[in-house]
Amino acid sequence: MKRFDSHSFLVLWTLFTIIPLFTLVVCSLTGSFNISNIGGLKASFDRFVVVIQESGYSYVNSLIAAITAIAINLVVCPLAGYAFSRYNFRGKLWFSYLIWITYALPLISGFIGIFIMFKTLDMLNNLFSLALEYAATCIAVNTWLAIGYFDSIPRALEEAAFLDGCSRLRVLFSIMIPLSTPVLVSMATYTFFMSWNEFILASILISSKSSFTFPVALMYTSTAGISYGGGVVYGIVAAGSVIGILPIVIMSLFFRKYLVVGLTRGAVKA
Amino acid sequence: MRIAKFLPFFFLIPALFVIFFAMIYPMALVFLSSFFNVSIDLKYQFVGLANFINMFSDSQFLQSLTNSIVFVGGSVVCHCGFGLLLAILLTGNIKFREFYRTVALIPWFLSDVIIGTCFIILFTQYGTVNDLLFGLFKIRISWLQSTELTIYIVTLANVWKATSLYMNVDSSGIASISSEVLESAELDGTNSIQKFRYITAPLIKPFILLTLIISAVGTFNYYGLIYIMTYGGPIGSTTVPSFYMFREALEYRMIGYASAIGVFIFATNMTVLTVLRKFGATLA
Repeated sequence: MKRFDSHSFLVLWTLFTIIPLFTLVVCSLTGSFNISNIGGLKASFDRFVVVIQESGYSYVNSLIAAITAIAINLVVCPLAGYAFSRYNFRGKLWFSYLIWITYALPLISGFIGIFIMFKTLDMLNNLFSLALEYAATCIAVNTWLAIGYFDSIPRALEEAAFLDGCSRLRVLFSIMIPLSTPVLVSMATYTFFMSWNEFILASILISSKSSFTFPVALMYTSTAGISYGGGVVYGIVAAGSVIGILPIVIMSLFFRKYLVVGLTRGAVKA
Repeated sequence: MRIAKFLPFFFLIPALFVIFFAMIYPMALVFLSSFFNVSIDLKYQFVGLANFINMFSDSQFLQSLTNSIVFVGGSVVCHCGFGLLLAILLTGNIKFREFYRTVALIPWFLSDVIIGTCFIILFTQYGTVNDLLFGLFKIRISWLQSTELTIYIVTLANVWKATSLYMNVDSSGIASISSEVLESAELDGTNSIQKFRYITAPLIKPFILLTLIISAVGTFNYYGLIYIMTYGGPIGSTTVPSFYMFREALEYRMIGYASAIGVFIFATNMTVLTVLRKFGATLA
């Protein structure tokens, strides 16, 4: 009896999770909002074609922003992580606070400042400025991941290299970095998820069509409207959403074990 | 040798530079701008505390605060409640455990735009939900055009989006309890409710408090779904402070005033964090 109860709630929750997604896929294929008469609907890929023609570039933009953010993080965070893991230096605690505070800092209250700053620098509508912000939101978690991993690599390895006459930098780049590939993949995956899906910052910093990322482009489609087949805009937005889910599915299939580490940590961010 | 002494600082410089440039400086800019009247071409005119005083006589802003109570309150209760329930149900050797967990995690990986689209399609006038209601009771409800109902739909979408995150936090809490404690309790003949009340709950209290913090602060700051599903409407009934700030700044170009709201949001965050800290919560 008890077993049955817990299963019934879990099954309900699973249905609650799946039904909206199922509706989305049905809508993207048929243009219908309604899944109750699913048998009578005709499926076609027309909407996907429309989306790719109209806003295919926005997925490329999203990818560019995400990859730039990943690149920044993969340079910046292992360096910082190495400093925290291997050195004792003056003010170490305060520097670590400074990095940690960005994790708890409500970035949303700084959005206006970000807007003003990039406006003065004339860097609005620029994918690089977007990527810089994405990179910054991931630094705390990624540095923490790097510190944790470096701490687990025995110092004896480095000391052996020092005895052979390697410099600190040489040790970092030819011993530590190659050894920490798993954590680098974790960091990249985490950063990818944080930036690929991001919508609010993108909607603030980007207003010209050519540099839309895909969430902004979808939003633009649903409000300004590219109509198809008598103004059924949501069918198109749904098709665009399904395309936007695909990279996530691919990433989570390939990098499943690297994924969960970071995501539960990056939650406070709005 | 002298260089070696400064090497850690060189390693830190890039990270600190990005953090300063992308987060600290904009934040400082917001604090500064909140005391000014800022024109569209960014001319600053000092107005003292006027922005803050205006804020509390602005009926739209006050309405956004009351809306926020429903949005944040509803989300926190469901996030933490269902999250904990799912975490408890998914401990032990239950069948299909991995399947349930994986499915529950899906929404957390999706973009706000995708989630918003899902729920618009579900709750639109001729959508699935209304069709079901029409079949059963011959009624259609304007879920997304009603000043009373819409905020609950947005809250529902937010619950759909993030509950699995809180499930994950609670799960890691439950996993940290040693199985010996639970086994010895079983030997003493506790039932599952007693076991939760006297063993699991006290031991995972820090994790529950953590979910409360993340959910309260995170939802208060968050307006992605509101932007997408309702754009704060109908008649401002789903506008929350962060969204109001966004509109004031980018639509009406009241940058100084919006900055003051930003400062208010910042202060609220810090207050919630400090208060919940008093109860023993820590940011993991």
